[in-house]
Amino acid sequence: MYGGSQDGSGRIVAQQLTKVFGPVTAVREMSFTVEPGTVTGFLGPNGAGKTTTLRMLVGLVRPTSGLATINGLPFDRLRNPARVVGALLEAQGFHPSRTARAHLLVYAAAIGVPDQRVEHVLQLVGLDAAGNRKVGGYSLGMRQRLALATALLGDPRVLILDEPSNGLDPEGIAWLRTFIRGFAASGRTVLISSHILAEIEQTIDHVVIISQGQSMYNGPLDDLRRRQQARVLVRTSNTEALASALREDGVHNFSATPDGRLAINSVTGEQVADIALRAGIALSGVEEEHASLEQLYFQLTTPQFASVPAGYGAPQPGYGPPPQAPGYAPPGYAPPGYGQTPPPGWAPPAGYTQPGYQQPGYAPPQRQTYAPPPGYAPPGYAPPPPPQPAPPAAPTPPPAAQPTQQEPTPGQQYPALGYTPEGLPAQPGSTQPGSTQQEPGPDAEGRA
Amino acid sequence: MDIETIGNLVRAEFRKVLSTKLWWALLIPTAALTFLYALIWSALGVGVVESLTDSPVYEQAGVDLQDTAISVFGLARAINIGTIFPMLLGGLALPTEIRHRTITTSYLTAPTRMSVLTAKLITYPIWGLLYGLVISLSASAGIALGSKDNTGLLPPAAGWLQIVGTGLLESVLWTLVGVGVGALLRNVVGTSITLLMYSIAVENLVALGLPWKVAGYLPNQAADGMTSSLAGEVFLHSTTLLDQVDFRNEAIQILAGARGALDWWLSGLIFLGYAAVFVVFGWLANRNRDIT
Repeated sequence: MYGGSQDGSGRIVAQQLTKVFGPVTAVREMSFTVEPGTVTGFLGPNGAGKTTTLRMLVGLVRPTSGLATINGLPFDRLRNPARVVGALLEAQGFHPSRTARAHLLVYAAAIGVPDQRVEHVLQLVGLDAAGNRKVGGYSLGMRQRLALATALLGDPRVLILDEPSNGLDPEGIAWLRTFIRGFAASGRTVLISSHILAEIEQTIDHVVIISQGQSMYNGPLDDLRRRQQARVLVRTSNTEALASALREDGVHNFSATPDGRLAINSVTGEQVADIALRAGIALSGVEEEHASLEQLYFQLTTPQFASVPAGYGAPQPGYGPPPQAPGYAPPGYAPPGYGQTPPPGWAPPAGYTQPGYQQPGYAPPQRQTYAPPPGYAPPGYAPPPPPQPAPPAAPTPPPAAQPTQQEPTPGQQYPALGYTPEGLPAQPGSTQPGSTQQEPGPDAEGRA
Repeated sequence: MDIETIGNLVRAEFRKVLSTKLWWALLIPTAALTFLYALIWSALGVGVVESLTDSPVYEQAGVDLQDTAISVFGLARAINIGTIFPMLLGGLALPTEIRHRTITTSYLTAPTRMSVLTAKLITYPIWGLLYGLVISLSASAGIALGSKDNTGLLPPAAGWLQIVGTGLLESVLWTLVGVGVGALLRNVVGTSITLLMYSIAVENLVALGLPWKVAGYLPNQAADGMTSSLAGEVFLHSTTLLDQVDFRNEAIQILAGARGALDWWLSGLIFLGYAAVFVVFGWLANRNRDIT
């Protein structure tokens, strides 16, 4: 049914994509491949060129040079493109006086899928009860759902999502995560952009990190994780004795933390405990801590720390504040436990040690995005590994919103069952969540 | 771009039009304005004929004014004014998609941008035909009502049908010009104002400064010339009133409101040419444009 020269792979390939808008090089020689069966995150700060790149993939923006293919062909040579690739690029792309149902019927006709498909995708995203309302009265979250429904109309094998969780409530985000995992598990391809790593960290297998129009990292997320440095935080009544015991054992890379603990780099908690035992020093708390992915991401995407080619130019206007700014917290940078003022020797990028970094209240909002509401248990949703459990011996009381950082209690835990497509919980006004719909989505197969 | 694909896209275009209120929001004033315009002009024609009939000059001239198809001018003028609405409908085809950013999805669900434009170029003329029918009926009703006590002033059936037929064609072609201009300007307000100002005011002023022969080649004059030329022919056929007048054609053109109008078919071809030019430029303006 597709053009003969499509390879049917569902692979997205960007080759040396470059886009110049007047004096601005928005994207510079961007190359990456997105393989079927995987979810690839496309990460970068605002203004890094994510949207431009995604739009080049689907022919909305013409590359200055380079080539993008989907299924082995440039987008404009796909015979019925919406059957191959569904793209959510525009949460605002609706005529306000058209109803959601009418909007979908328009594009169902364009793609050539039966009208029943409209009901299916409306149920899938939980908009079936609101389908006859004009989109002009929709909330941002509802528009985002409708945009996703539109992208899914053609039952595509490739999904390109540009910041899809914008405006979604926590339930919606959790549902989207499950949906995307299931979609990829059925052998399809997902490319999802975000400027917040934490938002998609549990969803993606691969990651392309870009900054200022260039690819800074491109590979499996696990490889990125392995780059993380580890350190051990210990509390002891006899810091001096422990320090000398460590030195005797050849461990020199440690320092005191402001809260009176010792932070030791490049060792495991076990090693430290052994050393302390041999030296007869009592430890009252041992905690292993990893630099979060967010930190690596931040380093990769902050021009001062990244290996930016000389002469590339200053950060674009509007790009985040300089890291030296006291109190600056990069969006979404919220590793719990790390916030207890990293000591010298930990080698954090400048600015991380600023007192303002610990401002209570900035972490909790981020946490809320992946803390599921009680009782929410989508099947197949792997429990999000809490990035860093709060230090048990933290001397300072946790911020008020600390409870949201707790792991889900057993009752709330996500059973790691096979993936069953389930509708997104309905918007207010819907009487029934879309979960009753039985028709399997484009991702009927169980998740391994 | 196969037939099935284009068929799907045309169906989508119809759903786009039918799921918003623009089409009937424009159709109501179309019917109202056309009817009123025809009514007023035919009443005016009746008034002129009646006052001529009462004058002493009339009896000396020895012509019968009771069968003079003076109302054809009201018919042609009403049709010409009515076609501004299908022009607007076509003009807004692309700009509304750009304004509401639905163009993104429209391009993502069609094989090529050319196929999206092609679907519009098929869909909107069909709407033009519908509008043309409403315009013809309203204009005909208007002149019939305006001449109800002087039915001799109405055009003969054949001439009536000819004028109405070219009116349909004019309406269809205006949608094409509209789609082309809208694609070129890409802006709802800009397109609406440009089309309205040009067709109602600007060109008439420009035409005043041009020789008669040249004026007929302007887009709006060409469009109006289709119905107006026919109206002139039908009128001359119905009466010997102007047989001895040297500037007969000029007089007719002034009555019909189409200065320098060429033959109806030539006007039609010229207007078709304009439609093609605007469509081509509209296409060029969108072919490679980045949708950011």
